Amino acid sequence: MHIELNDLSKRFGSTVALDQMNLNVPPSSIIAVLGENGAGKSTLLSLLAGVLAPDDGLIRYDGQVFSREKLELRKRLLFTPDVPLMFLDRSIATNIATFASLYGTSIDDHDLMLTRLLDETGIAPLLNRGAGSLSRGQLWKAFMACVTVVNPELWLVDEPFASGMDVIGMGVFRRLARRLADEGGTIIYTTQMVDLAAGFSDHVCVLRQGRIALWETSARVSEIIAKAPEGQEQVLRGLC
Amino acid sequence: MARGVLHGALMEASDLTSWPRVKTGLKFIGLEVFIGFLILLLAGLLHDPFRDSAWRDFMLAGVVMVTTRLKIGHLEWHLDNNPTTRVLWHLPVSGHDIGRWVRGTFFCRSLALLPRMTVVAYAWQGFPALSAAWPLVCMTGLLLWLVMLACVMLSRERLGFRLQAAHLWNLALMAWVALLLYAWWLEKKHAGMTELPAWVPAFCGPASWLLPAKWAMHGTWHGISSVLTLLCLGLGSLRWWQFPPRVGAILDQATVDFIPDEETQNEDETPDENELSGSAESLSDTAEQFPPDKTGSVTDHIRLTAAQEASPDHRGWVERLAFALLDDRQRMLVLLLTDHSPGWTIKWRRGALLAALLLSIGALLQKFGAVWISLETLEPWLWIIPLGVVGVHAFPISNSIPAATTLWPLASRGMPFFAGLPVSARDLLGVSTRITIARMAACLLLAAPVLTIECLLLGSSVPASLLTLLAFATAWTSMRPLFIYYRLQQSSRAVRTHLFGLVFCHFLILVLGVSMLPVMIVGVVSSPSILENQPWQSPLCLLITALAARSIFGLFHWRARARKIDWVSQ
Repeated sequence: MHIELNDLSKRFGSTVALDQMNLNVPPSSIIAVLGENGAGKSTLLSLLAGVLAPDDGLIRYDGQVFSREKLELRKRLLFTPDVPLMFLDRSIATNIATFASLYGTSIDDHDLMLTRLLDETGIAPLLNRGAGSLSRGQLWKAFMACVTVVNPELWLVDEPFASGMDVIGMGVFRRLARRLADEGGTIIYTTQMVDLAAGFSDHVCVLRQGRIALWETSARVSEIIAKAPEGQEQVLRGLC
Repeated sequence: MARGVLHGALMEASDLTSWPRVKTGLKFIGLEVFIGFLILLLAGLLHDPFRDSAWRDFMLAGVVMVTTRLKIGHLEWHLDNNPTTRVLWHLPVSGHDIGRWVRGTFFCRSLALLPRMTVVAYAWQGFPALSAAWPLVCMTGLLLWLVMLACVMLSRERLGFRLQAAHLWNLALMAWVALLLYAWWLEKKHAGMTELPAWVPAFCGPASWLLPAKWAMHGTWHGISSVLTLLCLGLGSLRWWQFPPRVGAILDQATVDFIPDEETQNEDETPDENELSGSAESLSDTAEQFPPDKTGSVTDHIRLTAAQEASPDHRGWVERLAFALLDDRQRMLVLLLTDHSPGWTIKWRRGALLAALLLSIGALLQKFGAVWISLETLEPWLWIIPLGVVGVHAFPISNSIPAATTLWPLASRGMPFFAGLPVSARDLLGVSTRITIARMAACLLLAAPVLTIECLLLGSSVPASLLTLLAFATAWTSMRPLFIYYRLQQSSRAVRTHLFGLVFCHFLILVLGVSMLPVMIVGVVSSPSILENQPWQSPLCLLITALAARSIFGLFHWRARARKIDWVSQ
């Protein structure tokens, strides 16, 4: 999915969260959004998901102006906040079926991948268990099963590397995100781990005080980190 | 200019974060003025002929005790659910200090009730003659407020066996509500009536002595009342000072279970205990059982489990009726927004059973109890209670939309339940309206026979009453978009916009709201007591109401489409 942000601004009272941001995200790419605490990373994801509305500016998905009530566009994207949105009083199986139903997809189309993901993450034996009884890491793993059946064109993920998932779960996340990107999708995730972002993305976007301080390929960011010992901090501050 | 007024320099200079506090303060003042107005209305109901009766004392003492009852709940909330208490409990803070903090917070919040108590004192001392001695009114108000605090502290005192003081007050308050409705009924029925039936003051006299507020109502030394007031205040003070150590002892011994689960909060429609335990068992019974057969497909299993949970087969007929009106997507939404089993059928059956029982008792009293109870006395009870029981059990009030718009249980960003999913405001409206139609039909199936029997017992016109009932049901159903608008508006925040657009939008909502007043106020508020055909029941009036409610929702939806709304739970 091709994403364009034109002069996107968001304020909370006197606090400027995003300030006339312009961005052009190509399809089939993984974007890591970096920034210090309060830089506006989560606000950006909420705006892209339609949970928040911009004060000024436009978001365009494949050329169409986006608003939350445009359900056809909404069905093409999936938002994962820092704690995945699952129905805690329902079983994991029902959650997966529900996501498929709400997004108008079929579980059968993803049978093989779903089975593999559930086995790999160890969620398969827990399918009948209520989502509310899972740990945070398990909840993330179960949610990735929902992502598999939704197969979104745009996946907005908040802090996946601080999700509490073990190394197996993180591996599954990386493979899932890469597969979605290879199929033409776009993955935008936030993180504060500069080295992880450089290692797992196509482009790195650094936000600072509501503006884009750096937009670079991950290869270039890796070079910057490797050159100087304080490279990570420089990247996070957008001082390259 | 618009931004300057709404969110601009003026507000930014004075710190924007203060605006929500000012807004909350204004809302609170508005609420208190409204409650004060209600109290004075109540005092007006107790006009001169009743002024010296036990009836007046009972009514006004009831107002204080209703407030006391609410404050007992507030204190418990501060102890059990207040987020700050939860944080303190997890920190190295002694239970004694937490108790002191809770008591201090409770005291500060209670200060705001002093004006209300003063209004009650004024209503007792000087209304409607406007002849109050103000120093005495203020002193009585203060005394009532102190008694209220003392009662909160003493509410859990055991009076012997398992009886607590709060139990006695609850009983008296139930009688208070019933008598208030009765007086209202009599006022409606007999305009200009000068006295109540003799049994009312005879009942109110002893009953009012159960309410400590009555003892303090005089404001000056008044024999045994003052002794009881002093006793209440003395014991209350003792418990006030003992509160931190007593609470501290409980908190210090409490386990993690003491702090309630986050999941159990924000539930507007609480299911029956049986249903809850049933659903929990069904989940735990099946947990860890998959995969029963390794050769079985995961997708088959998911589909089967989801279908079992979604199936309306094991639900009652009201649920099945509602499901029949919904498409697959809407059914899925209902499953997300309601409890495992909303219990509509169970409540309907319970309502039917109770209404039948009450009508039978009414009929028997009318037949055999005429010697000691007049038909006039019986009339309001025949009217109010069975229909009230039907209303409480079968009437569609919320229809799950509160669940959709409250905070997502775990998300830390304050998102409403549906904000992260491809679910629109119009989806919620569609689901809620259809459920309302189904449940209203079920409610009418129960209310219509009850009303018919009541009319036959009382000799009223059956067609006119049924017409009123139908008009009421139509009005309520057609106002559903207004309720959805209210809920969505509560869980959203308008983003910066032009002042003209905002004012114009609110002006339109005001105009549309005013056009609904005839039905909303005259119809919905007073229809239970008026059987005759009223102008508000006309099809034109109902149509205007339906269109106005839909238009208000439409305005909100238009703003949402125009990207002017943030979905943030309050």
